[in-house]
Amino acid sequence: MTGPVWHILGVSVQGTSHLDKNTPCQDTHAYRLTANGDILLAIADGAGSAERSQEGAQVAVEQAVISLEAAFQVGLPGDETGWQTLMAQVFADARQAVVQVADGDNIPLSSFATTLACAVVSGEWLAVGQIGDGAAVAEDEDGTLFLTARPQRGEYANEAYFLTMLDGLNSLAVYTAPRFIRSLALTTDGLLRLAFKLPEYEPSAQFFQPLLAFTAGMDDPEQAKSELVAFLSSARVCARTDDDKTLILATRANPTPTVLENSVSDGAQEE
Amino acid sequence: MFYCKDCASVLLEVHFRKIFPIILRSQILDKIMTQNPLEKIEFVENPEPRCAVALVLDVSGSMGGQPIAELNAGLQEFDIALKADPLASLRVEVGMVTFGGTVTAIDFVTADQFHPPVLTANGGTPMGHAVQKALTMLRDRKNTYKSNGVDYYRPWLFLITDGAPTDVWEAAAEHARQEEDHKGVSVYAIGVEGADMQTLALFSSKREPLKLKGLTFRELFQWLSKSLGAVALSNPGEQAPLPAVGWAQADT
Repeated sequence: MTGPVWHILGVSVQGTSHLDKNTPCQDTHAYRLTANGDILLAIADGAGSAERSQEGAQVAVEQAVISLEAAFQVGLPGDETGWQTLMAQVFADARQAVVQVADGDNIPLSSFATTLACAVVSGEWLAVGQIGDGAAVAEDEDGTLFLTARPQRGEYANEAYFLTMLDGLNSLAVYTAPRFIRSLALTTDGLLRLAFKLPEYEPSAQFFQPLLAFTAGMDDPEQAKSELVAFLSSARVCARTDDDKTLILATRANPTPTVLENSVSDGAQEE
Repeated sequence: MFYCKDCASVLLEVHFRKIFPIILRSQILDKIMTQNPLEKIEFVENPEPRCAVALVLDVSGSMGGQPIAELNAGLQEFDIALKADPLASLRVEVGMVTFGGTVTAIDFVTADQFHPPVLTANGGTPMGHAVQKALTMLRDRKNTYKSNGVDYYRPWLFLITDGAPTDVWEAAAEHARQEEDHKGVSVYAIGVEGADMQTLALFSSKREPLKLKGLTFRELFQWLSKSLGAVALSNPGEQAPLPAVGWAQADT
């Protein structure tokens, strides 16, 4: 057995402004690791002013995962055009799922306003799709971080693009490349100002590398998750952002057996 | 220094693992042997997003006496209220254009750097010229934000008068309406007792002018600082709800 192929950690944490205003955490996320060692990640950020955006975000993420899993079943694309088409289908499905909930309750779609970003790493393929102002950061084999999904912004700081807009699907941006990556991080806009150098949205290694190291080094996923939640709820973070915060961190398990920790714990068992 | 009770050697990680098999890894060892990577995270310092407000204030002769004194008191309240909110004071930028005989402009500064001048009243009411000046200042300010990669919110133009323009104002009013139609600015027009409300109404395409209740400038500026604070702290996808207006007359 080769052991875990990926270490994945995902959390969504309520922002202080949402606590103050008594609005729920409108961020949500989901991820899957397939038997083949492929991963799929999805995040969504419900609009602050939309009444049922938390539900919009949840439905969008759930549907995106269902559609991507279905694509894994029938076989993933082998070229960029195929990935573009798949992402377009996934986002159309996600939007349709939200439309159905809104129509069912006879409530305007705008009440469910949400962003959506999803990413797939399959073999040597990386594909990321996004509508809204999340961001996806990938880490190259040599440890270089690069932006794949760039936050979509209007002129003003409180403007955003949503899956649920009338022409929402036209805003879909897809990044796809036959490129081996070591790690992938998805984040909603709550952390943008801490994690990226604006206005270029250059990902900060001082922000992401410790997080990826933390993910790679976690022993107990539940414990790691609560530590990450504690960090994202810390005064240090909340002094810089009052919005909901979501992070999914995925990093390949180190394939080489010469990890210090392994040798130490082996030694302990032998005694 | 601690010694192992089995082999008397200095306690090593291996011994810790034997003695405290469950709690040791995350709770003791990680603290002792390695620093938690989360503690090493450094944040990027980005400039705060800005929300500019151009205060376009009537200081013509008719504002003399009690009205100008109350306006000055209102500006002091505004200053104190903005500075009381640490984040808003870094995000709200205040610029000022006064019109009384001549037009005088003070360029935008963040609220923490703002010092309200003591205004005196005299002369005519060159409101058209003042509004044009404010629109130009706002456009220039946005260009400065853009070229420096600073995020910004839709700016406000806050116009207060107790009379009617004495200059050519029609083009300025049209310019203000157009800017507002293009979502370039939000115009709030406030009439003090004696203001020509019909003319004032032509400076905004989105909202009716409001008439100040008596000389409640302090309430007006309290409201303005709260409103700007709410806008300047709003996140993407949020429409900041503005506080209730307590300073306006019901029928205008």
